[in-house]
Amino acid sequence: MKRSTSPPSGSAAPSTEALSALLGHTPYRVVGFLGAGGMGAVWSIEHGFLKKRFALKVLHPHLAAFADRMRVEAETMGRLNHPNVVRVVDFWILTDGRPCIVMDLLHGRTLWDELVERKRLPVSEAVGLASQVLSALVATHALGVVHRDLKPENVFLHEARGYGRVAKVLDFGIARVLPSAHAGAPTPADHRTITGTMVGSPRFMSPEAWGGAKLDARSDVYSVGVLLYVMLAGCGPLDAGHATPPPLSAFPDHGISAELDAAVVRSIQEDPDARYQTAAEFQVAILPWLRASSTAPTAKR
Amino acid sequence: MNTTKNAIGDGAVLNLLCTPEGETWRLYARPTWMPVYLRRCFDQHYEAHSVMLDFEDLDRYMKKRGVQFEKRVNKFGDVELTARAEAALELAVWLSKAFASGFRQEGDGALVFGKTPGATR
Repeated sequence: MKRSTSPPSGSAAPSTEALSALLGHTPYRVVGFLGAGGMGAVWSIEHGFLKKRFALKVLHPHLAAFADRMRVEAETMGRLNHPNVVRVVDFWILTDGRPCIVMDLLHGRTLWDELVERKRLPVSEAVGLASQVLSALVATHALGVVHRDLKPENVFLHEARGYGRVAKVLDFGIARVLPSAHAGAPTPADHRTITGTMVGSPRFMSPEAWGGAKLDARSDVYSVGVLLYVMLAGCGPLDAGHATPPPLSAFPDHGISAELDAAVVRSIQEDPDARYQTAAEFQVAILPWLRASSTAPTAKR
Repeated sequence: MNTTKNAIGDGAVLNLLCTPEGETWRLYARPTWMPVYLRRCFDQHYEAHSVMLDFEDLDRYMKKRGVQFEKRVNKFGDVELTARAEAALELAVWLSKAFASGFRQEGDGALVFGKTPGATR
C-alpha cells in the first residue's frame, strides 16, 4: 500500500486530526493514511504500550447503512484465525457511531499490483498462490461464509520474515453468512442484498452472482478459477470478448499442461454443478503443480 | 499467444464518453466491442452512472501494460476514451475495477455504482 500521512483532499476518509480525536480513549495513535476502498479507509496505527503497528479500517461516514456488514467482516475474520486470512485483533464502534476493525499490518503489495507489473506468473507460483487462497476458503466455507469478492485486489502478497511471501485474503466486506451455517458462524448481517443487486467485481463474478441469485461456496470456486487463469495466462477467460473461455493451451509458451488446463476450465464452468463442488476439491486437483513453488506453502507455516 | 497480445482481434475497439456528474462520472459506451462482464455493467442503452474514475491511475496502468490509447477532453470536461485491440482489452480490465460492487436498480435495469470519493483502490 502507498503510505502518506493524511488522506487526499476530497476523500471520504476523516483527517488525521479527526481520527486521532476519535481514537483518544483507546491505546492506539494514528501513524499515517494507507488508502481507501469502496467501503472504508485504512490507516496505520500504533499501540502505545506494545509499540506494535496495526492497520485500522474505518467505515466511510456516508455508508452508515452498511455498518452491520463491517461487523460481519470483523466476526468472520476474527473467527477464522487462518494463516491465509488477514488477522483481526480488535473491533469497536467509534464515538461517532462508525465501526472500525484493527488488523495485522501487512507488508508487500496486492496481487493486482503484482500482475500489473509482471503480467503473468510462472505455473508453480500461480498455483501456489491459488492454493493458499483456496486454503483460506476451505476455512471460510467451513464457517458457513461465502466471500463473494475474490479478485487480485483482495489477495495481499505479504512479505513474511523467514517465510517468503504469503497470500492473505482481504476484505470480507460483502461476505455472506449462509443459511446453513452452524451455530458458531457470525450472525448474518441486518442489511439484506436486494434481489437483482450485483455484488462483487464483474471480471471475477460467477455467472450465478449476476442478477443476485443465492450463492454458495461454488461461486467462490469460480472466482478463484478466474484468478488462477489470469495468473497463468496474463488475461482473464472472458477478457478478449469470447463467449466461452479459450483453453489455456491457447498460450503454448506459458508451459501449462493439458491436465492443469482441464482443472482450471472445470473451476470456471458456467453451471455450478459442473465445477469442483468445494474449495478443497479444487485445491487437491491443482496440488501436482505445487512442486518447486517459489511461494511459501501453507503447510510450512 | 503471449499474454494478452493476439488474444484479441485487431478489429476490437472500445470507445467511451465519460461525462462528469459531481465527483463521479456517467459513461456512454459505443455499442461495439466489449467483453461480456463489462457489457453487463451497462444498461440497454450502453449507459452507466455514478462511476468513480481516476484517469491518472488509468494512464499509469496503460503505461505499465505497455499499450497506447486515446484520451480526449472537450471544453465541457467530458473525457472520450478510445482503445484498440490489446489496449481495448486492457481498458476493459481497468474499467472493471471501477464497476466493483454495483447496485442494480429495480425497474430500469441501470446500475448505480457505490464507489466513494477518494477511493484509491
